[in-house]
Amino acid sequence: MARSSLSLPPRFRHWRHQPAEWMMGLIDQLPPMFEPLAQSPVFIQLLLWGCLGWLAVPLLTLRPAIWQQGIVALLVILFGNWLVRLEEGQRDTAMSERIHLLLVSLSTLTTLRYWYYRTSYTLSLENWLNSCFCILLYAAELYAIGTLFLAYFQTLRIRERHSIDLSHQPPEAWLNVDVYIPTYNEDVAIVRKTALAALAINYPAGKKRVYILDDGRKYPERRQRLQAMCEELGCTLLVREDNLHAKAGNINTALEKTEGDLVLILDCDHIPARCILEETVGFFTNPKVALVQTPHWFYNPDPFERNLLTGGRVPVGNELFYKVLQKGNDTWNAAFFCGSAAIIRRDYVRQIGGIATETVTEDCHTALRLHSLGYESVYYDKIMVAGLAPEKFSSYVGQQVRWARGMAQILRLENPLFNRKLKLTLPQRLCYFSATSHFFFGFPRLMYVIAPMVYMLLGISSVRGLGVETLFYALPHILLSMQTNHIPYKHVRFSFWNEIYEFAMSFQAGIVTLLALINPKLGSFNVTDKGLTVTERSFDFDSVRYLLYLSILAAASLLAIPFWLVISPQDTQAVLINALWNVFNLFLLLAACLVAFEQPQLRDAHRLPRQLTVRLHSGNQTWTGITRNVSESGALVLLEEWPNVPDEVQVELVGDYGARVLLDAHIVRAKATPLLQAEVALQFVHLTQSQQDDLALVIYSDVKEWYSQNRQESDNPIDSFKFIAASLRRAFQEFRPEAKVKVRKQVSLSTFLFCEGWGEISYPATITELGLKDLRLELEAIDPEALDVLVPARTSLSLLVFRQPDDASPLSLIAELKQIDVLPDLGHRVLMELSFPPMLEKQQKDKIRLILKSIG
Amino acid sequence: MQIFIAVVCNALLVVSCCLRFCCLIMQEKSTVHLTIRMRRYPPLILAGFSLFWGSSLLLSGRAIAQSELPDYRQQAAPAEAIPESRQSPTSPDKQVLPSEQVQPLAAGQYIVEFNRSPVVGGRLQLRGIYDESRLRFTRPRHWQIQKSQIALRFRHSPALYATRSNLSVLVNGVSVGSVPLNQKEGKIGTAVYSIPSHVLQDYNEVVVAALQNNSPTCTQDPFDPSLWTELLPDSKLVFDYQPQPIRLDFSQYPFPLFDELSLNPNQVAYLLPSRIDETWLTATTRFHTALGRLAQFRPLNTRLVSSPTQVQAGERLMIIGTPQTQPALKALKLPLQLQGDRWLDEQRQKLPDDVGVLMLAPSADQKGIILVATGNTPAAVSKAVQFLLQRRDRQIGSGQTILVKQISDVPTPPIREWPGYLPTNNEFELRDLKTHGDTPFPDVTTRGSDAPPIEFDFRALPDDHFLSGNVLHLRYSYGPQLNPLTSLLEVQLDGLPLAGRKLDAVDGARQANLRVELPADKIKPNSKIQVRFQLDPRERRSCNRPVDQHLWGTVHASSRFELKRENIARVPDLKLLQTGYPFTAPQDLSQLALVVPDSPSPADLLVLLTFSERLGRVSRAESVKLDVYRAQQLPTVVRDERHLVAIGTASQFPLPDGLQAEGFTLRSLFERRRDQATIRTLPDVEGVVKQIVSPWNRDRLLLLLTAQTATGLQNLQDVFIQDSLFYQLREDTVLISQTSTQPIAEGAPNYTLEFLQQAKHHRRLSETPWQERTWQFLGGNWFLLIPGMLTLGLLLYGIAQASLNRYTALDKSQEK
Repeated sequence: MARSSLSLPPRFRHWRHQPAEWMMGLIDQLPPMFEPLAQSPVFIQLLLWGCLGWLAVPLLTLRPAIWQQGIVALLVILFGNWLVRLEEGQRDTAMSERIHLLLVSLSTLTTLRYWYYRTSYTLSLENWLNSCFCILLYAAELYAIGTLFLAYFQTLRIRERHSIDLSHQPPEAWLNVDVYIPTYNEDVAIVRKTALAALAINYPAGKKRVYILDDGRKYPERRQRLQAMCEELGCTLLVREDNLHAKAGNINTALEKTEGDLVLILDCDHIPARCILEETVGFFTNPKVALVQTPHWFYNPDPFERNLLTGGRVPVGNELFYKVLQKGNDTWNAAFFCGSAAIIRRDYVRQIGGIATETVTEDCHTALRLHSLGYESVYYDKIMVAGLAPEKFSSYVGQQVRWARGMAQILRLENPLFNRKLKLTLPQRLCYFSATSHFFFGFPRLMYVIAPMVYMLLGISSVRGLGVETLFYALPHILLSMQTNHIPYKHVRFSFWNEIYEFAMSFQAGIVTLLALINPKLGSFNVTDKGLTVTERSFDFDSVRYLLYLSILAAASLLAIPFWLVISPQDTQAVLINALWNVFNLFLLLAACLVAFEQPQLRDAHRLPRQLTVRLHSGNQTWTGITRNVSESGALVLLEEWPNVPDEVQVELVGDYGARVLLDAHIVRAKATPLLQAEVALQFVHLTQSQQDDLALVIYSDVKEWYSQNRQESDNPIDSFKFIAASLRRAFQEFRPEAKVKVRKQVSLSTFLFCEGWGEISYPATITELGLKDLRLELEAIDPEALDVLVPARTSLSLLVFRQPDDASPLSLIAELKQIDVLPDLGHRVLMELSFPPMLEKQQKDKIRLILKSIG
Repeated sequence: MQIFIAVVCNALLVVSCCLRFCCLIMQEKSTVHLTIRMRRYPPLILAGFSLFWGSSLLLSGRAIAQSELPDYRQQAAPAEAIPESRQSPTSPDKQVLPSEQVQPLAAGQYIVEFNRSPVVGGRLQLRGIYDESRLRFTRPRHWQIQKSQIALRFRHSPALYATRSNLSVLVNGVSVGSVPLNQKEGKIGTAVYSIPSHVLQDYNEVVVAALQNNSPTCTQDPFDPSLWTELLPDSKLVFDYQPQPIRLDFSQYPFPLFDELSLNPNQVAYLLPSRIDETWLTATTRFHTALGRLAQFRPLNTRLVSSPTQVQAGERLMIIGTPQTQPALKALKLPLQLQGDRWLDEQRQKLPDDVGVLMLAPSADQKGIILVATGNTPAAVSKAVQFLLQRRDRQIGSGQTILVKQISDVPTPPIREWPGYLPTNNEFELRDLKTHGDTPFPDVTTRGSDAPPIEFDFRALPDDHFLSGNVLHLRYSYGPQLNPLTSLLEVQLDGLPLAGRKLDAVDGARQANLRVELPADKIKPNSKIQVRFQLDPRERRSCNRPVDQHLWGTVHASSRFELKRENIARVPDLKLLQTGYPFTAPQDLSQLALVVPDSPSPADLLVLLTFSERLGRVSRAESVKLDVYRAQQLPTVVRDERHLVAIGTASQFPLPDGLQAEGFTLRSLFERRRDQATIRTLPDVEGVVKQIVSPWNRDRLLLLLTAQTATGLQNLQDVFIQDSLFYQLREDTVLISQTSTQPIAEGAPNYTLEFLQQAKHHRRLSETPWQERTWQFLGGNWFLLIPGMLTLGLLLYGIAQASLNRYTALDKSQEK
């Protein structure tokens, strides 16, 4: 045997890998074979597609016996799975895209096969009630299939852009850039951070001007403060006399007042990174480029992340859009403007009459018009703004509803798919159609919940003959589409989360899009509330009222299962499938409802897991480390050695580009890591305005690459569903603050201890740990009776501290006894924990600092 | 399978004695039919009926599809028999001469005994408070019934109360007598009633009705098992009849050549010509095929004679040919005269060569009838015969002699347009199906609580292959005053319940709709759909017959069918021959050519005739266009383009090339080998029916009817005569051997059929275009779905990726 295996030709030795290699070879070699055809005249291509369509008809329409279809379904799914595994081992993105395209082809075929089956055999039009639900569900599925195909089209090729270096051009030749920060009623502190960062953007002086566009004429006091801030920082405040067309009108007014070639538009809570202009302005060397969009990114958790306690493990709602779909759109020159974090060419925008004002999503509408004039857009996937996501679910709903309304308005007013007046290419039309029809998910999503429910409760069958056969057609369609989408989506949208996002918004989105279709002029621009703080748990019943009712009905319908099984055994298949469908829906519905269960925010400021260089100064010593996370109120610092510091230190933070800030910090706790490093939690104290400004710049502006740029976690459908199911448990867990481990300086100071109850007697002791708020000391010998006098938390002690053994002027301190321990094994040594009374803090703090300083 | 059907049938027969009557009557080879209406077990009886016609071939040797049965309503007669053209004016294309009569046969007596059938040994029971059974029979056209009697022997339950129980007999609605059921326990009663002659008509119905009570006041339980009366199987109908002279006139055609009302089998004889040629072969075969169509399920005895003197009393002799080929014509006394070998018209002018002549003449003894189809040329003979084949032409024929100058050209029907079968459209309404009278199916209403189901044929074409998703949208109405708790509507396919619905509208419903899924694998060429209304009255009175005639249910002709089917048949398969497929496609047999040896023997010819008669029975068309050739005369074009049937003994087989064809080794049938020894096991009397794909055209079939000897061929002939044998055909090869030396006329048990599947590969025959055939090929091979989808997926990928590459390349070049 061994001999025979050895005698195998080399190409057969790795026979196990042969199928994969063979398939890869096929995937690689197949397209070149068709390239002559792809270059042939259009009618030949059409003929080719026609032939393929003709070939496909019997494959799509054939209805074999149920078990045969079961085998077909199983094999197709296994093949899809194999391809996905093949893709996972790929490092070459081109090959990955090709495997994705092959899966798209297969998935399209299985979906069309399901569609044909569904249309031909499962429409239940027996009576008006059945017909009604049947048609609604069918329409919902059609919408889903249409959306699927559009998504496939958008993700056929993901365009990765690289910035165009401007350094070879003299700075004088660089285009003038105006930075617009439109604002309405937001907190001035929020605007200040954005303005500061905008001013800090790397760009030649004189080529960049920062404008605050204040539309808040109803808030004169705030405007005054804004004016003061602008004067202080060196930017320009632009105001207008009306609020016509909200943000769009605000920008349009400014466009006429400023003179820069380009305009960087930033929402007032979008703090730009220093490099934003260097990275993006290069794209404008192409004269056709009218717009460069960069991703939006939020440093605080959105309601889904916070209320479902995902801990950042699940990609947030907009990642799919900014990391995949916009890049896919960019392939077809259809990446669109998202209102902020984008640079537009002023002249081109003025050519189309400024930012579009007809809809409430002025950004997308503006891009549509720019594309229609033949201009190009660029999507550059580098996170260069740090924004604030809506904190509360209601704010989130408000924002989404505005987008839904706006997109539906564009669809209704512009009809991007068929409008002949728009000079768009077919791919652009498809991309815009996909974007504008996206928010119609509301009613279809609800139909998926209602269909199994009405069957269980009322016996209304929306799918005729629902049974194993239906599953055998539906499963390949569903699973293959999941497998196909897994390739581009695996880091940006986890399985079933889409359903949760859509469920949570279904009612509101459904109503808003319907109204927008009926009357596109309804509704006005609403400003999304940001920067709010949730302090305690609450349930936003109003936002999910109907969803909650649906969940109750879905749960109630499960009670009907035993009745069905007993009374109507012939419907067992349909009942069980509906029941499973219902259970699946119920989990997603409950998760969607939980999003409205507002969880409290535990920290004062949002911690960013940035790795900044940090220096701890205490006395004459300095320790260097890096931050594990940092916020405007504190940081978690990792040091290579355990610093012998008291609980208050000076901290110096250094940004990616070298910006620095020096702060006082209180050490909240510290602990050793398994690698024996020290992890020190700091709380910044006594921050001045200039410190705050510097800190904001270091944290938000001085960033080379935001940590969310690349996500390492991958989707796993089963884990994802488990995680969603577990959110029910997580949401009701009690929060436990981390135990504080005190940090004090290790010292050995002689002292004498006095107590009122001891009279004139004093005992010598040694201070072993000293901090600004407390200390620890050790007594070698003490009269046991003297100990009886001491009552923790009641007794005050007086200390006479000698900084050196021969200190002529020892310092006296008053401290309260907190704890007392007698160690009999060590010769009745006594350990005491004392704290300095807060009321004497002012008087004693300097003394303590003096002691600490004296010991170095 | 045969045993299974027989077991099923026997079981049903035990339950429903009506079947015994039917079989008995069938055994009598008469056209008497019996149906029965029993109040207690209507579904069972109906099921029995539905299976009866399919299974009767096993029991009585006659295949009858109910759809082929004439309508027995009073005064009704088959369309063919209605002498609508009797008074029609003479066509300018032919001339009518005066007619004469043949002498009647001797008077006689005809007895229909209930116990003649070997498989009927039980009794017919009447159960419940009121029950009745029906016996139907015909009166032959030329019989004058002088006296007729019905003699019933019966036994009844001792529990019956004599003064409130009686047995009545009605003939055609006229009461002929009644007898109280007052026999002592176990005694057999006899009732003999004369049937007034004037009551009897062409189609007759005897109703035996029993009123049974077991109480002087009120019989509480209508289903009391003690309420029974048995009609014993030795009951009988006796007719004394006097045959009448028969007028020789074509106006009643097919009478007098063929009497569809005859109680005895019609007898036909053909006079062999002096020289057998294609004209005689084709004309005779076509004529006999047409006779088969007229006969439908009725028996027909055929023989060949060499002289007119061999004709027996009551037998009809057909002489087909020119005076040259049929010299016996010169000796007959005929309305037209011969001058030499040429016919003269009534003005004694020579008839033109293209004029066909049809004459009816008495035989030499004046008791037989001779049909002469002749002319001065073979073409004229063919034209004369063709005239009789085409209904539209022959309906205007009358008189004793017809000169056929011109006949209309009947176009060949589309290949899949089979009358009586499903329309070729996939969507049609119930009214597009035909009733037994060949009229569109009307709205049908039933009344009463246990009315028999409304039944209609749903005969799939033999090459129909149904996919799933076949739907009947049944439109129905029903009246008010029914019990909504127990009333229901049920739809069955061949007795298999498919769907039901509660009839719960107290005020009735109009044009309601019920969607019924028809199972794809259950629709057969002999399928029927039954729609049963179970209508219960709201209140049931205890001591009377339930009042239920106000309850009604209607099935509307606007009921709609949506079928999903393909057109595909796997051949060779002799089972398909049961419907005539593929030889009967199109139904005028124009795609068929039969081939006989150069010098066909009488045995060859009889096989030819019986086979063509069978094809006639299973097809319906306005014309017959098959052709018959001797082996040497078979044109290559015909051989290459038509379905072929080759008839002959092994030594004289007309298509020896066919024997060499792949899949057929006649030698292997006649010789069987074991190890090195070769033995001849096939008895000389064994006949072979084998179907193969034609070696000259893969879309055509070749049917081989062969044997070693003439006796073997005779056995073969019986396969096509006897329904019980014919409807067993299956596989691609059948060996027929006689198991006993008893006369063949004794029936089916004398034969053993052995079925073999010799062809290793099946060929798919289909009339659909090649594109659809490709789809069907995929459809028939589901496992091709996977490679098909993967291949298509790869193709889609390849083209899409190539296009995408091109787009990207263009994009990059523009950027540069």
